Amino acid sequence: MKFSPARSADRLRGDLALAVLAGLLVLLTLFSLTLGRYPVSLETILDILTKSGHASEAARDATARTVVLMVRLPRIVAAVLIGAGLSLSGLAYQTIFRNPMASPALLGVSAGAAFGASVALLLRLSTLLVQGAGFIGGLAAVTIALTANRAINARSIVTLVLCGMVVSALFQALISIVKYVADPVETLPTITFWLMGSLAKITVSDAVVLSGPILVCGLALYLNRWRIGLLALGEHEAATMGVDVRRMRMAVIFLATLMSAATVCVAGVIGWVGLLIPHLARASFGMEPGRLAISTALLGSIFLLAVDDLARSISVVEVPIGVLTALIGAPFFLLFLLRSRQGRWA
Amino acid sequence: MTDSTKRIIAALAMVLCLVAQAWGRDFVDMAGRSVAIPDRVARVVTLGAVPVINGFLFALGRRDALVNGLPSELARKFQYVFAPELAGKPIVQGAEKGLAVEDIVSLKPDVVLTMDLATARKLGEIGLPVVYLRWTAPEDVKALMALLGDILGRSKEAGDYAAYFDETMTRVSALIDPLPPALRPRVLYVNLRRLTQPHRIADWWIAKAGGRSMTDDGREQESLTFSLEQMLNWDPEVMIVADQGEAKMAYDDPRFQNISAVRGRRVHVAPAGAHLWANRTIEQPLTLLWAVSVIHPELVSQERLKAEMTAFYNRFFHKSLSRDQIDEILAGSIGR
Amino acid sequence: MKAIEIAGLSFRHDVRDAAVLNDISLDLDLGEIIAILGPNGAGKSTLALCLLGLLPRESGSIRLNGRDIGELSRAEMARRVAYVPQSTRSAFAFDVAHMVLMGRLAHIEGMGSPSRHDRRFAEKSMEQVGVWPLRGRLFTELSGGERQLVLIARALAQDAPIVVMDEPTASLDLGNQGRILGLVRDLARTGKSVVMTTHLPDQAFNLKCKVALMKAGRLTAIGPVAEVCSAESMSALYGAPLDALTGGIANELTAFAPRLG
Repeated sequence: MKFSPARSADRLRGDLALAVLAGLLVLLTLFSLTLGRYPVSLETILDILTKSGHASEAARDATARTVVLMVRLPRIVAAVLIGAGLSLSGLAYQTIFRNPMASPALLGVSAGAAFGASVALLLRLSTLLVQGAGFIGGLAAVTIALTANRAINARSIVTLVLCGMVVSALFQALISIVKYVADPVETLPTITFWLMGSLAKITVSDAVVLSGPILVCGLALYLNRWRIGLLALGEHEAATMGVDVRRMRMAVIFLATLMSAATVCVAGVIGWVGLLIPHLARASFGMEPGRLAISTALLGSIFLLAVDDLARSISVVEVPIGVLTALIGAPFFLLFLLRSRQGRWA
Repeated sequence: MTDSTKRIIAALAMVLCLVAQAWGRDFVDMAGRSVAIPDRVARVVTLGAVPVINGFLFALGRRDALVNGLPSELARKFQYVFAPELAGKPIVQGAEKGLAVEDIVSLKPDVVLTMDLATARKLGEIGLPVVYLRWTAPEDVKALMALLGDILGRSKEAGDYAAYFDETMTRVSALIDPLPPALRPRVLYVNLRRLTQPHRIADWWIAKAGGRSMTDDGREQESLTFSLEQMLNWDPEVMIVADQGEAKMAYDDPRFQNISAVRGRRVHVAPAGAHLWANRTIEQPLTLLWAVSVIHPELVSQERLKAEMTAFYNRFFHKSLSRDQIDEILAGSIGR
Repeated sequence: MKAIEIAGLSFRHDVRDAAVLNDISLDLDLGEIIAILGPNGAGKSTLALCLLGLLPRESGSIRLNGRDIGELSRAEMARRVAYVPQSTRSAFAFDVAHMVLMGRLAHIEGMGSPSRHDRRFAEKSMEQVGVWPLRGRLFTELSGGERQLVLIARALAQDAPIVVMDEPTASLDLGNQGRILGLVRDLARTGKSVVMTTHLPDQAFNLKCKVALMKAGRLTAIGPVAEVCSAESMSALYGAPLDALTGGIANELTAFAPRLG
């Protein structure tokens, strides 16, 4: 191949790196399964997972099974899915808004979902209704931002971002009102804790519910990665290269919003992942859309799973994961900015 | 100074003392603050943990003096059963520390009762007669009742209560003390929605009732938060929850099905009378008896418990409760 | 059938504004180059954007190879006309090979990714333009001239019969100008039609191409450069006295310089 011997060597290295990442995720998952207050050995875990578990009816074994399959596994699966989902949403938003500072919360989905869930918690509704309300709130916020943008009829993407900011601010204010009105003994702490983001209460059904939107939307984004990547060059160029910019943008916003709303309604507000991970992925794996998308998802999963492991083992009282992602994410990002070359963005 | 002058001065002094008496007495509250309160207390405002403090007044037979109502999030049916007149009274507190100070002042209270020190200080500064009550150790309730009895002119009733409290403790000790550790089951009082044990006092009455409270770690903090795995590791044999909704949660959730308490159907809802029995309430002696009845059913039967309850409410709350009402209290609140 | 047929094109940004383009008509054959000359604000870039379908025309028609662009999807448009913008700013650091490869998206259906054929094609385009040695470099780290060459390589990779270039040599030095113009000539020789907007009449002379003069949204003249561009017509166009400077082997080149008063 006269033309690209260097390219295929490059490609091979990239693929190898991805394989290493994937392997790392698998190892981390196994490790995470061993973490927890209830003592379960690695052999027991592997036994339980491969279902050839002891047929013994001893209560301790049954509890170990419960702990591994119903307490730890859903949580780990959720962390992997949410990490990937938020990172991919962040990557998509940064691309279509041509802004390295964009995050999934840009158009107000987090604030809207948080508001919906807060109202449901205020009314002391069931967990399912809280999640549903969160989902609807998230979609509503983005819809309002998009509608406002269309009403302003601006062609500029900056207007859309501004509408998102306004909608976020509005919903944050509404959340404050909900907190003010809430019963300080029971409801207010529940709302506050929920807003800080936590994977502590993830059940098997939560993990299943989460997997739908994230896998489907994630796949849709991946399949369209090249066309979406074109949007990073700007409207005019993307259009002349064959992309229906309006429709593609709407589609990406829709998919990213679905993923983000799903994560918020199950786990509360978890920030920084969507902002930080795409930068890491770009810096390590370059801009080739396929590798970028996969590495973003893998890095996101690994990051959130590691942080969640930390959240539940760092002290007796569990630290809300949203707090940790900010505490770890912010300095990490600063370090990354200090190290990265200036030429990285125009 | 002549003799007659001395006598006039002495007489004047005595008159002044008598007059001073009519202007009220000085009390020292449980934070060491000095508060001037009139002799006859006709109007009492209760703030903060309103149902708990109301309970104190019920037991002293002074529910007539309550001038404020119950905030909706703290209201309980049985508060209104014991004091129906509370229904129409004005509510003077809202969300966290949100006191309607002007409303409180306009109620012209003779004394304001609170169990929060910051509230006491703040209202004291603007001249209201605020008495701070403290109940941290279980025995504090006796001193608290003694102070209140003094203020409200019901020292005898306060003494009666203290005696009943001690007597109940002695009775229960007699039953429980002989039990060896092996016969004391693992007990967990838990708020399942938030995975916390919200009130330290539960560790005390669980232990007194012959159980081993899994959250008894000698902590200073009021509540303790733990993880689901921790709860599974503790594997309590008896679980106590605050409402029926939580009991249902305990039985329905597949993750709890292997816990001994769930398998043995020993998840109990804490009764709720004037207040939730599991928390600090004037009904604490009943809490103790009830706890024995669920932890060691062979030592205290349901009939005995119900009889005790009827007697208590009759004697201290001056209210005859029907069998249905007793059962209702025992069933606990429905839940949120 | 002409490559481009524009008839009666008018455009304004807002109903209340004055027309930016007023009744523009021009044709272009396959393999022909047209240079659109005009002062700042004449509407040259707007014409290019309308031609590319990026701005909605108010009236008139634009046909590419006989098809009205209103009927064409973005993908179909991309296969007919490629765009070389004046400059491009990306928030992210793409490398040159990636930039050029992106031109191939016009030929990739639906959700696919570039095939080996696409990659070969992109590589050939880079070779042709002379940017193959730059393939691993980051686009953001290139000089202005290098960037422009890469953008042309991208347009080449897009393999469209029509190429629209908006002031391709703006802010480039004479050396780079020459390179770009040479490429434009080569593109036309391979049968592509090129629409180029520019300030510099001498470039039209160098290319020996058709010229259209635009002023305040109207076409004031259209025809071969030798006929259309004289000192008088250029002075009238730019509204300032200009002197003609001739040069070249056979005096075929004319440049214009402003006469200072």
